[in-house]
Amino acid sequence: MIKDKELLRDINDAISNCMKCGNCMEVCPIYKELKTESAVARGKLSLMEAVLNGNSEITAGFDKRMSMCVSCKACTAKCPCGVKADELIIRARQAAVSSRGLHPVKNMVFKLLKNRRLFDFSLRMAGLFGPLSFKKLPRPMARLLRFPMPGLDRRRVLAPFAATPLRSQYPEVIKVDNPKMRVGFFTGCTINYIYTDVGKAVINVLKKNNVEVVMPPMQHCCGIPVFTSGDIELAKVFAKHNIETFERYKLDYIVASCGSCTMAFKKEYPEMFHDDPEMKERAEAIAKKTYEISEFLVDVVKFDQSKLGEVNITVTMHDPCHMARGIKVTSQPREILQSIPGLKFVEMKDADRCCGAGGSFSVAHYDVALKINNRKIENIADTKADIVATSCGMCRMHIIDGLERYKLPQDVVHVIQLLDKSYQVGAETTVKKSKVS
Amino acid sequence: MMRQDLIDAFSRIVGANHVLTANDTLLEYAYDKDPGFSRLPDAIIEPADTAEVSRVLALANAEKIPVYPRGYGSNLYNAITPVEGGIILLLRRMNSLLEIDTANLAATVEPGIFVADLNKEVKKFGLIFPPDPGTIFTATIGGMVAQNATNIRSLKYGSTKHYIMGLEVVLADGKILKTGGKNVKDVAGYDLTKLMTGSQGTLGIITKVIVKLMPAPETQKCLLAGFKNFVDAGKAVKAILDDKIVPATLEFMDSVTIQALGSKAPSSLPPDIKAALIIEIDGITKVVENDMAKISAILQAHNVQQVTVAETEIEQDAFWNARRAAITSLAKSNDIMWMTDAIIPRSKAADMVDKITSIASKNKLTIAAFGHIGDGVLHPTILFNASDKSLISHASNAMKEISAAALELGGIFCSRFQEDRSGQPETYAKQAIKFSLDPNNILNPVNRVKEG
Ligand SMILES: Cc1cc2nc3c(=O)[nH]c(=O)nc-3n(C[C@H](O)[C@H](O)[C@H](O)COP(=O)(O)OP(=O)(O)OC[C@H]3O[C@@H](n4cnc5c(N)ncnc54)[C@H](O)[C@@H]3O)c2cc1C
Ligand code: SF4
Ligand code: SF4
Ligand code: SF4
Repeated sequence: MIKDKELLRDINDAISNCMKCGNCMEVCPIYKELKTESAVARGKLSLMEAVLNGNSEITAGFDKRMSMCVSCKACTAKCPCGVKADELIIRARQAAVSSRGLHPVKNMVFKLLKNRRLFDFSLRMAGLFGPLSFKKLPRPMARLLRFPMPGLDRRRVLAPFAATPLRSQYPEVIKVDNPKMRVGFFTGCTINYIYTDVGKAVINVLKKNNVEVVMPPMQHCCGIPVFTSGDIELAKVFAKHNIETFERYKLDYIVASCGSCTMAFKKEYPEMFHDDPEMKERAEAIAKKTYEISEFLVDVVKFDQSKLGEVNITVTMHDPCHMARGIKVTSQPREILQSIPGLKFVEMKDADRCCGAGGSFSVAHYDVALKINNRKIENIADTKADIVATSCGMCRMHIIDGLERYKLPQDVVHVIQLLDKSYQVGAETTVKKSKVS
Repeated sequence: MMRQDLIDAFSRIVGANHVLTANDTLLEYAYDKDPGFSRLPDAIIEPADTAEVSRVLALANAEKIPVYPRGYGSNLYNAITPVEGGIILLLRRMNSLLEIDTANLAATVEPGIFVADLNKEVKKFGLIFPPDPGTIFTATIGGMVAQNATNIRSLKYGSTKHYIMGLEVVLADGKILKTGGKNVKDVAGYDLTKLMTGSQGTLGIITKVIVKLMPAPETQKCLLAGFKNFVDAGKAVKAILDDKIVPATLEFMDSVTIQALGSKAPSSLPPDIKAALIIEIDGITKVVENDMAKISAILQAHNVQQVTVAETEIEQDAFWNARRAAITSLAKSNDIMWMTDAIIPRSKAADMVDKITSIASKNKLTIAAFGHIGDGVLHPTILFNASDKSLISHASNAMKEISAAALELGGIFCSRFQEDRSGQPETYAKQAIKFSLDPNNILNPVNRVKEG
């Protein structure tokens, strides 16, 4: 117990910066639904303060309150006093983890995650047998859960696991004729195991731009889910493993196609090793090379716009929290969408507001996640768009779940999938044209 | 700890799941502005309607249990810390908009509604509820009325009390009092609506509010002006008001405040600016354009360095966000902040800033000044570090000098660090009112009334 308090103690200063003005309430998605003090950063901070002052202990109640947060960073962006509440909440979870162990459902998942081979194996099994446990729905990639799985709400629509993970479908190095650079692709779990379509699109688009792609087979989950749950030690194991894995290749850049994964490489890894100079330096070297795919295509590659074909649809965009406030990449995906001929882009209200997925938050608190999600779905419906573009697998899954509940026809895809589509149309029309001439 | 039989009795009134006594929950409501200044309440009770509030108070009064009404808790002066233990009466469930009466330009609301939510609804009818304490997203109407919150638009539109037509208030013993109403002239004898407005939760619990609405102005224009010295700024303010122009807002920030804002300061301000004014005009388009032209001429005549007119709503918001962030940014810049209110005749505002500057340098302190200068409201704010004990006496000294300066200029001064006012007739009258309405001193017993 003493040690757990020490974990909190070094954040004492950070907490006392909070002037209890309550501004964080205005933006907190959890507060909007629950309207209790414990939902909002201010209440959580005062609870931490109480533990620090010795007025309270780390109890089950403390645990429960700290778990009510989707790590969307909205409060931190709003706070006039510069209090990084989202990070402090993770630290508080860290204290709680070491004093009482993880939420039982998460515990099971993370035990799996700890052992990469076992994890890989069981997710592959889930992929192979996926069709058995997921009810098919009239929408690509979405299935309603038919058999209850421990901890997962049965009303929930989840994407099925892919029959073959992305990395098993490709060679380790994907060559192009005139490579202008060589990048490592960090697929992340959702793309490797579930949304392999996104991974394929990323590879296609990079190839179109003469970029050689390397997919190190030894890469592991980025570790963000365990990190936000407070198991920092386990997160460090993942981090170290991924850093070592990518160091083994000669790479000009590293790309990831999920905001959270990118944030892990760019920001969390160097932070995690703040007290280990050697690892910190290595983490920083990796961080410097890492880009989110849209950011990479726009800022580094300056993607080829001459080969794009027409895609006549109306698209709106949801900015995942870790894209909007984690790595601050919001203009580049829009630039990509707007470069596509024929595509009509409409902004939705509160595009950067959390969709409720929040990593594993929606597993443990499905009811609250649903309510947050309802607002997102209503904003999508208002735009009358045909398709929602986003840049995170968890968001995609959670929004599809919501659209399904509302019986709305829209599909949700990654920004890069639309770009890939446009390149494909472009190639077809050139073929046709050359046939005519 | 509250006795179990009392918990049961309160549970029978509001339902067991609205009497919260878990330690972790109590801790979340134990605090207010200052870190460390906290005391655990014994219970949090969330009534659903007036009848429940009335029954809760009747029981609390019989048992002499202190009751602290709480809106959203954004008051920033420790007004809701349960210093004597007891009940936090949380009004969040009573947040309905009961009626919008467009014919009488009035709306009836419950106290827990957020000001921004009220505004969103009345806007659909082309109406506004003008008071804006800078926290419309987080302040409840009940909290605003209880504090008679001032307003960044009060120069033209007045403060909260000018928009309260009637109230429903539950008194300490549970009696339900109705004051005022939708008629414009609705008072015979004592004006109880005004008495309850600003009563800080010490005279009763506000359970319904009839607010006055206004037609939304046709046009709104906002500008930001930077000056090399505050005397010019002060003179410009006087000249504008002398010219019979009534802006909706006329806000002042000195260089200490602007510096504290850091990245939140409007980017168009040059770095060597000593004073800035934010001026907003609203009304009929023709008049607004006319006034803007006059104001520009006056600003030029007073050596303004830089004038930026907000072209878009986003630019306008940037100006306002800067002003709204003033208090919080100052609080962040040093570990102790003594914020005060000096209300002076507006013709003397520049003199007051001048005096504040010399008091600061004499006492080797940083003192910021900002406020609704159009109303003559300034907030001299003393900033210092707790680690240097000698500064506390400097700060107290400066406080006395600022108070004296305000009085000398024909103004008044209030701080949260007041001198003893017991024995004064005003205090006597206030205490007489408080203790006849609340003889057991259960409502917000923070001794505020004793201090005057
Ligand atoms: C950054 C910032 C800037 C601010 N600027 C200003 C400003 O310029 N001008 C200004 O006037 N204020 C300002 N305030 C203070 C605050 O926003 C207002 O006073 C607001 O009206 C308080 O509303 P609340 O719902 O948070 O009330 P609370 O803080 O919950 O309560 C305030 C007081 O009212 C009492 N109360 C609450 N509800 C009721 C009820 N239903 N019946 C009886 N008593 C009740 C409480 O007991 C307490 O004494 C500022 C605050 C912040 C954080
Ligand atoms: S965390 Fe920041 S925004 Fe929230 S109450 Fe504290 S100071 Fe205000
Ligand atoms: S990170 Fe998001 S969910 Fe968590 S407290 Fe802040 S605003 Fe609320
Ligand atoms: S953030 Fe999600 S998708 Fe990305 S690697 Fe981690 S768990 Fe997998």
